[in-house]
Amino acid sequence: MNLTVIIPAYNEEKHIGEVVQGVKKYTENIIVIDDGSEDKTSEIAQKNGAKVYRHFINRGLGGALGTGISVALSEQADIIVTLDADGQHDPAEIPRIIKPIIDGKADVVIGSRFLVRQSMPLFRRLGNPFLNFITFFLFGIWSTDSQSGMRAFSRKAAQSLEFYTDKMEVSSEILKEIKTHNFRLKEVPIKCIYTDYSLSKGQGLVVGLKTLIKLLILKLTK
Amino acid sequence: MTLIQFLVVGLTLLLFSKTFSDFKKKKIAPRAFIFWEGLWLAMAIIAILPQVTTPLAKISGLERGIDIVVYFSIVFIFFILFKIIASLGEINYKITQIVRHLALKDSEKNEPR
Repeated sequence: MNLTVIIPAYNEEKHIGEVVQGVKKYTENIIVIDDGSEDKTSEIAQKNGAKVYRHFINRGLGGALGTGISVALSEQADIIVTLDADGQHDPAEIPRIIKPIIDGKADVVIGSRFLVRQSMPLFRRLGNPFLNFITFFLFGIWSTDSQSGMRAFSRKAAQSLEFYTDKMEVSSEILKEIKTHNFRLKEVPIKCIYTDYSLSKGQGLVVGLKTLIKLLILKLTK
Repeated sequence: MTLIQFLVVGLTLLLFSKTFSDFKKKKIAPRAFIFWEGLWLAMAIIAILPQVTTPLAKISGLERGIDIVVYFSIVFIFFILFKIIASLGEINYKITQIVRHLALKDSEKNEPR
């Protein structure tokens, strides 16, 4: 079984090395999409054994994930896992997140930060459910963590995914695609390592509102 | 002529000449040229002679014809805005496709394995 892990990264030189090293325990197929970084993300990822693809300008999370998935599919991945480059996801969760796909019980798995009790900054605790609700309202599919960056896809599901959005709103668009194609979705509880660094990289109020506007436009245009 | 009429006519004159120079520089197509010049002209006429909108008021049942012009203008602005947003999304999507294509091509050259 070919397990491929995709790590979209933008200016992540501080953490990308350790993230790639952590993932290496589970697979050798690691694809880092350097999304137009201005630092040494590409060099460090490559030195640590990842295969690096570089966007020459920054396109955002959606753009990077799309590139990663097309690479993974062309390299015959059977299962594709995505995780964040900022170190907030523990690679040790990979076996748990792919299990429902291996067992044939799901086509897509989302690692949810809200299925286990864990400390989380108040803003995240309020902001995430808000975007979950918006996603449900617009696309008719419920997830306890619509903005999670840790996911697993079967090959079949990955082949049918089509993203139009480039930035953070892709997380909700993935759910829209799951609904459109009627894929079986499972959620697996994951722990999240919040640091000041990973918090600064996520969606704040302004980005969250931008995501909301882009989701509305997506709903109206696609 | 009131101040507001003066301002609207001045503005439409500016837009009229800008559209004309764009057309001369072949920045816009003949159809778009006729449409926009017609729109600026209509704006100027309505500003100078607001009573021309009275028949519209009679048809629509509104008190003042100018109101229906304002309503339709708002609808038109939203329509244009929607078109712009949709085409921006399309352009963004195409840029991403290009960047992706180049990223895949580069890696073929460099063989990062």
